Amino acid sequence: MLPVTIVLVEDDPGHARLIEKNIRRAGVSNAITHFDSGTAALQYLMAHDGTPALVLLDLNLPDMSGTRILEALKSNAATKHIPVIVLTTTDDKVEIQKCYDLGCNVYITKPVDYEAFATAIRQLGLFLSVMKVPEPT
Amino acid sequence: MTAPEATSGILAVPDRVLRSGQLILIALGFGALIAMTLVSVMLAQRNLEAFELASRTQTILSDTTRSVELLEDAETGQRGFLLTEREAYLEPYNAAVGKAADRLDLLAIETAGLSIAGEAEKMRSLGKDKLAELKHTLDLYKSEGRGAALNEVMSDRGKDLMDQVRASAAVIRANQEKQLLARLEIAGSTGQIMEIAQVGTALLVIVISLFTGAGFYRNIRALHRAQRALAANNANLEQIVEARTAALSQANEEIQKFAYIVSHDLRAPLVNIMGFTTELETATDTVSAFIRGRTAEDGHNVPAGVVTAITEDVPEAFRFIKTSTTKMDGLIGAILKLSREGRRVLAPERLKMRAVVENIAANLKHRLDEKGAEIVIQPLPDLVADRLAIEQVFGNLLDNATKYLAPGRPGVITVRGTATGPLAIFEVEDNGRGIAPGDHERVFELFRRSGQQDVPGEGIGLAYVRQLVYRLGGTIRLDSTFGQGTIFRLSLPLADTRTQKDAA
Repeated sequence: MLPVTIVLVEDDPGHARLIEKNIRRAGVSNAITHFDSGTAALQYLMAHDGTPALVLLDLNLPDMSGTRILEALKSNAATKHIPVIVLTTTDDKVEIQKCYDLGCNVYITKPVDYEAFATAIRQLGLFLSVMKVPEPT
Repeated sequence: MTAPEATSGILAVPDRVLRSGQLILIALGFGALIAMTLVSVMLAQRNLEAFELASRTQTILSDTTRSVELLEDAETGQRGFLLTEREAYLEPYNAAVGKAADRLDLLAIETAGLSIAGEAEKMRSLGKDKLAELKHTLDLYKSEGRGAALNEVMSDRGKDLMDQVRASAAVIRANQEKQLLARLEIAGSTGQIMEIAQVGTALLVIVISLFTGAGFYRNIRALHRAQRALAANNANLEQIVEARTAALSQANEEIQKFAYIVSHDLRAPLVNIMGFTTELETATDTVSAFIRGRTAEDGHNVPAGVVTAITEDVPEAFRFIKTSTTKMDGLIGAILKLSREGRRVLAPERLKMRAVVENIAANLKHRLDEKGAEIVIQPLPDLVADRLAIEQVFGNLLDNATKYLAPGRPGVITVRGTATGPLAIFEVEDNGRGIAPGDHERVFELFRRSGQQDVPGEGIGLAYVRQLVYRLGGTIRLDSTFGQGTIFRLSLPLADTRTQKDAA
């Protein structure tokens, strides 16, 4: 089984760094590819070479809404099996529901309380370690 | 936004049906009529007097003439008798004597008080003298015979008397004729004056009628114009209100969106501040442990300043940073909550208000028991409104009342309500610590609190309540006496009919 690549789409470098730190702390050592814009991330994902991947997606991106990336991924046969974990500051129920409707697999709110944040990421690590990423068909 | 011309369209509405000028004209008209009537009455009176005087003059004239005629008749009889010595010739004398005396007396009475009275009196005495002279000659005839009587006649005394009577009568006649002319002249002129006055008044009344009629016409036209303008305005007003409401809704929507984006975007850097502060803390813990290890050794050379910095100053700084970021997160959360609530679509339903408030009171029961306070629910009118909004309004008010009870007296919170017209008026009254007069409006503002800050809170409850009440189409205000308690007064529509539009 090929190691899963984590694709992190996050425009805030601070958030990206904190997420990475906590993923590592949780004992996850998979490669992390970071994109700070939706356009670049989409380009990379659409040219997906078949390497198993997992997307950590922030919804507030400067160039496009995260939900658009989610929509694009889930409506494309080649990419719709890629698990998407939405990780954003919104705790708006409507927004969350919209993400699930679009096919997001997990939704995690970035809490300001760092302990909670770290715990959430660590649980994500745990989740990643047990999750079986489906092979591309 | 400036109002369209609609408001300036209302003009030229006469504040009175008649202008003061027209009132003056009408008053003048009535004045002229009254004056005319008075003048007519006066002139008629004068005319009557003149005619009365004229007829009196006529009587005097005829009596004067008649007196002279009777005297002449008497004289004719006397002379005829003396000439013929026949009794038959004496008849005119016998017939006229009594009548002449009577007529002379009558004349004296008629002229009494007039300027001619003296002359009449003179004529009477002359006439009487003449009658006496006639009688004397006839007596002489009887006693001394015809010769003596004729001698008496030829003495000319009788003729003189008669001439004097005629002269006196002429004076009276001339005088009375002159007066008669004058009186007829007066009567004539009076008639003329009356005619002129009547024609003048008629003309005046016509002119005034024309003027006031024109005035009325103008005023009525102005009223009609104003009415039309008003109707047009009303129609316009509705459009304006609609347009404004739409504009307001849009502005409100934009503010909500703005608040949402701002608060949302503020949260992202806050995550970093919080996150890296914790990272920094973790790193500091490592350094701190290292320093502590060093200082535990004997004869260490760690400066006291470093120890204080790492064990006291840095942790203190971290505490403040964390408290502040937590608070900031709370504020951002509050703005988010408000903006989110502002965008929520309200769903009105029939609400049993007593049940709603009882439910809230039940949720507060634990805290109420702790404080020894109670909530009294009096009869409440039922509403058709959004359940969540109403629950949150009353929930916040009752929560506040429970939170800010006055220490040292058993708390009593009363909820009561009445329905008046299309509105339900609710009161939430407590005997708590009260709100200082300067803060009555301020407590409804976001993040503002009042009084002693000994109870945790963010200062958003009442801002939230007011926003909800406004959205429900109601109002809220408070009455409070500091140290005695507070009454929140809410007015809400009994049936919310605006929600459909609001949600659009």
